[in-house]
Amino acid sequence: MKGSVFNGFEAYIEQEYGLHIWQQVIENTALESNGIYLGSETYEDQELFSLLDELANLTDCTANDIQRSFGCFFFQTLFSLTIEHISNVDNLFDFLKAVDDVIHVEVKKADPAAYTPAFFYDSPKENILVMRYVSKRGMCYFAEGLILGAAKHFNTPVQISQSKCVHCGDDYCLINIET
Amino acid sequence: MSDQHRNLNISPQEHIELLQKALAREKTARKMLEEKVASINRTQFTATEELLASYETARIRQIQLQFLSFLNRENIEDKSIKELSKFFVENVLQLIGQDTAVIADYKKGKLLNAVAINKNQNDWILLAIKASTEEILSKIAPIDNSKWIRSILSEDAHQEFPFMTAPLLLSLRVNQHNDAHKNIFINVEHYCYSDDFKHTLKIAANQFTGIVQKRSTETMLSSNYSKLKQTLKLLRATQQQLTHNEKMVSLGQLAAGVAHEINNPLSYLSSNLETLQDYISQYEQIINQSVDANNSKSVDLTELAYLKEDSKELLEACLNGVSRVSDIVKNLKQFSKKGSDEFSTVDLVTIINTSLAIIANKIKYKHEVKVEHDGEKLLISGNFGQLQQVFVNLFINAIDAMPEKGILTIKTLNTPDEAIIIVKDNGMGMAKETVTRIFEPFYTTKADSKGTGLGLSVSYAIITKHNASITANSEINQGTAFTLKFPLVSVNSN
Repeated sequence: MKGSVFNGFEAYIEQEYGLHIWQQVIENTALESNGIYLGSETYEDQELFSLLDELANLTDCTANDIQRSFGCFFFQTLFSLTIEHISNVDNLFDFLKAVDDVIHVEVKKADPAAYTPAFFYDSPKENILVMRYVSKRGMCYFAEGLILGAAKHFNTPVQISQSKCVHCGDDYCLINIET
Repeated sequence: MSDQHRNLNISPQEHIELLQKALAREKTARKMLEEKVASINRTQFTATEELLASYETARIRQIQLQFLSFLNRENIEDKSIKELSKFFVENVLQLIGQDTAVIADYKKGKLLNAVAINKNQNDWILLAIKASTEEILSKIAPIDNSKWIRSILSEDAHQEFPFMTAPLLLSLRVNQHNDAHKNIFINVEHYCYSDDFKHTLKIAANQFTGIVQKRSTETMLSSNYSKLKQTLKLLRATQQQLTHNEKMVSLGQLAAGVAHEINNPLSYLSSNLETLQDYISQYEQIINQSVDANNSKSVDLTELAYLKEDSKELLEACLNGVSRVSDIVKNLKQFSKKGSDEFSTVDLVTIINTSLAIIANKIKYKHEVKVEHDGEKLLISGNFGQLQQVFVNLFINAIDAMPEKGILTIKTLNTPDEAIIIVKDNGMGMAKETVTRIFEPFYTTKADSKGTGLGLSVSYAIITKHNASITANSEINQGTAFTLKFPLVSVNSN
């Protein structure tokens, strides 16, 4: 996982819970990186899950809810990256359809061999976008949070649900977004 | 100045504030540094992006090609359209990770049958067709040929096909010949695929449609071929009958002459037999006299010797006559026989001689026959009866072209490659326009009662069947010459 995501998670915790919680999470997890993350570097996925679990432990929130909330927070960081890649996008669905390419570039630029999640899209109705999320990390709730962040940015109220989810034993996640 | 000394001059709160400022600066510096690194990385990535993108495209293309070539390779095998369709759907199901599909066959817009496969069945099952089945299938039927359509599975469709549990349908129409088509419905969980993947499905659909249409054409052609074969068989039988009929017509033309030919020996046979009957009476008389001679007078030996000698001659003449009639009948029988189509090695010299024998009576009074054979035999591969028919026909035509008198010349040439026969008359000849049409069926220059217009066209067909050729040269008032060229039977092949 990219260091920038860890840095984003640090910023999220500091904002939502305070610096001391971040320090406590780092202390409690005793990770190999010791909480030092360079945005351009790649770190073990497991470190993020450990941080998530520890935060859940400290805050009485579920790890899934934290992922969703962090995703919503992280959207602004992602959006700032998209500006140079995406222009003339003025609605939620078009933004979501373009975001896969942005993530792809941002992850691959430091390490072309790095693993990237993939999003595939279908719009069976005008007000419905189905996103198939394929990732070995299974961070579909983080993806939901990002979508919620984007919806907020484009001022578009949405209903999000998953008809398939890797956490329920499926091979992929199907995220249905209805405006 | 030591740090401790300096710290003594500020309060802890001030110290914290300073540390916070320092941390903020550090963070900003780190952020700037990371942005710089990110910028350098981006520049490097941009430089290799094209290469990486090409690699990624090539990789995806390879997967697509593998799938498509697999479909194609399997499809060209000898599968029926039904098998092909099932094979295609099974592979698409595997590719998209689904398990439920229906194939419906239509003819002239009417549903003929529908088969289905789903996760509970290992193989395709035939669906019971109800009125509602046809109605639902027609509601969800795709319209355009060879184009995937993704739609939401309606509630009534789900009720009709309860094994379809996924929310979407991917349907494809495949047109065949003779107003037939099939609709394929694949029940899918989603249609979230990359453009490349969708493109692969599109190509697969086109490829499959093409193969089905090709196979459909082949089936249609095969059916037509079978019909044509039947027609050809019928035509061959008709042609054989026609050839035989034409032979019978030739016989009809020869009938009067043949009757005359048979009549001659018959009349002298009759006369001889009457004489012999008379002789037998005389014999009886002499025998009686010889019995009486013992009593009165002697037998007339001179008369007895005459009777003996003449009886012998009369019997010989009778036997000759019978033999002649027998020969004529034998020739006619052979000629009129409805022979088979089989080829064997035949001698053209024999065929010409026997054909001349058949028309002998027609020719012997007013015409002269000149025969020049190049060698004793001219062996070719052919059908004796059919070739005899050709020559009899040519000879009759020649005689008809010389109504008053004339010379029929038959010349055979034995060249290294072919046997050449020239049949020539010095009769009235034909105009150029006539010569160009003489091999046409039903074309005749003879009076209605005399010709059918089929003689030369039938001869032409026979000659063609022998891989031979026939050409005609004619000059008005000079005569006509037909040249026939036959490939010779090689020594080895014989």
